[in-house]
Amino acid sequence: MLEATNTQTAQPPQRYDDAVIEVRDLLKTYPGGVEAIKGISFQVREGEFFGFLGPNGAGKSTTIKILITLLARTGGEVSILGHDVATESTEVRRLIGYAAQEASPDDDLTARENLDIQGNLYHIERSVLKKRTEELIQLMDLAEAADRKVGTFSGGMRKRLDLACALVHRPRILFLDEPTTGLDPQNRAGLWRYLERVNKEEGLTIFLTTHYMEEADKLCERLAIIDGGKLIAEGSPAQLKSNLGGDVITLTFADNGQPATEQAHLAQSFIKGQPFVRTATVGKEAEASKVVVVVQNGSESVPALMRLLDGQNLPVTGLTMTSPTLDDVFLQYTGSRIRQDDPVPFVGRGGPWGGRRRRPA
Amino acid sequence: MATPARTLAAPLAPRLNNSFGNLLHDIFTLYRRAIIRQTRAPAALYFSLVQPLIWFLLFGQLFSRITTGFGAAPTSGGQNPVAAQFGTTNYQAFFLPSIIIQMMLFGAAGSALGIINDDQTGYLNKLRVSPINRMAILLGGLLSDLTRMMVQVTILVVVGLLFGVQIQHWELLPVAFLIALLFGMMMGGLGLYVGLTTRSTQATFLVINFFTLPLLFTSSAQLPVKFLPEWLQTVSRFNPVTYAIDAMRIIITGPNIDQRLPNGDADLSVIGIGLLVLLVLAGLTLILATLKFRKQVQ
Repeated sequence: MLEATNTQTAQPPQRYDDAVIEVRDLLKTYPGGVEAIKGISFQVREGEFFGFLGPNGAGKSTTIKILITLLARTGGEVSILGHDVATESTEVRRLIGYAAQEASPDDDLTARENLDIQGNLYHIERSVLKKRTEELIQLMDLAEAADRKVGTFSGGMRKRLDLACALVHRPRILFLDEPTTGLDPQNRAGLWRYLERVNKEEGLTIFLTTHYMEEADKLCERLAIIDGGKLIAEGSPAQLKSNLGGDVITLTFADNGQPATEQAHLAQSFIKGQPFVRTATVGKEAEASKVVVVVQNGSESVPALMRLLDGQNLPVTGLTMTSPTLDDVFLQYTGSRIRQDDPVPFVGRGGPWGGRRRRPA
Repeated sequence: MATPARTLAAPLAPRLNNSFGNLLHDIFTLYRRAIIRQTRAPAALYFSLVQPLIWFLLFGQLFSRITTGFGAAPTSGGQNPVAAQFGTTNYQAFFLPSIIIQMMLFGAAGSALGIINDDQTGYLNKLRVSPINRMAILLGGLLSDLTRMMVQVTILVVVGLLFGVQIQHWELLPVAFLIALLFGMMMGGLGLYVGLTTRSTQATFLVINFFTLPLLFTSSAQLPVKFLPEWLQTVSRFNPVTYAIDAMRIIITGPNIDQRLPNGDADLSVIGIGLLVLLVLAGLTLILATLKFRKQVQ
């Protein structure tokens, strides 16, 4: 039940001359019939920090696995730096780096040994690899721990080593699947700094999936928002927010003989016709007693809204006014919020041909 | 907001073709990793080396009087008739090939553990995203396990020598090692196949253990086949363990009642047949494991 009244319909995806990732009409249906990706198209430009934002189960992991040659697509076209991911997978693999949601260095090896093995997987010449290894150890602040067994590392250190491993062959594009899930706020902020540094200093294109609004907002130059296997919006965080309008007013209703959700729907139907209102959306599930109204000017609109609803005998029990966030953008298109406070579901240490492939979420 | 053109450092990974040299490089890389891993768990390494030694000494002692006919006096002057049928009066010499094969038999589950572990930690995805040859993922780990087991074989042979085993055909000893290696590859392939199918450590151990002891006790491991009840004799002729042990026994122990030609000489064709059977079976299990892996890993 999409209640959004926005007028922005799906725009044709933007095309760029310097695109390094090109995805057109991508489809993925798992054996068993679950449609994980229902035709998405987007492009990522050279040097860009690109985010793929969406709630758990939206299709982010499926998309990234197709892009990095771990999963076969059902339809559409996917090319990385001009190479088809299915037919030229070896060439694609040479040019990309990947760090999984769960850092997976070899715990029995030292950091330096991990980098050495990793470099040899890419056939890097010995002297070049040696130099690169030292460079990455410095870059990721692992110098003191470089010859310690990784099993003794803290979570943040493992994550940094994992990132170093993904960078050892100096890829053109770095793919990160939920890079900060499971990290504490301090390590998360730290990892952001490292990512920004490699993006700037190495000119690396970064493709990142996340369900953290804040992360997408802070890091990404451009975002695609995905939900239910479809792209619902694309643009820079600032663009997406400004498209939404000036201010976001959230009205809350309470049961008073008439159910709150019913009041919310009634209120939305009155509000959306007002000339000063851009959009009005009723939330889903836990947010179903709330109406989110986007207006040009919040302080002028609040009294008018209150008068309107009083006149209809719909008492507002709570009101907040904020500048738009990406969460509001998401709500606008889907009617639900990306719940950031959800505990991270334990999906096991995801296997490659593992549970997810057999039982896609 | 076009980003200014940046001069990008070239990727460090060279373009690769599907050459045999590149495959060897990949196998060696993952072999090196697996060997380092083995040395980082010295306790496991130590026990895997000591356990077959204990079996060897214990079983060797347990049955040691069989080969002397329980001390029965020789009937027609000279050799004890029971001893003649074992081909030696030293049961430990008779048992040495069995313990070598037994060790390779039990080692099979081990080769699957590495890949199941990599699957569970996510390391396997790192490998799959890299441009390495997919075969190297299976072979690197398998070869490191075989390396460890061949060291164990060497230790067992040396200990056997210390316990008075007299090797009959020194010149064929490398062939005995080859037999052990082929048997290890066969079991390794089987272990990988089971491991890739079940994708669980526990299930792999259960399945492999279900087969190992029956395979051992329906073979010539403890006694010459001709000493077994007839139905077991039939079963043992379809058991690869028998082929491996018999071929090795001619080299290490000397021929027993099973391998003697009517004129009393050793039937050396047993060695050739053993090699052939093991070569075919090792090829078969490795192909099965590879096909399974190919299906799961692109």
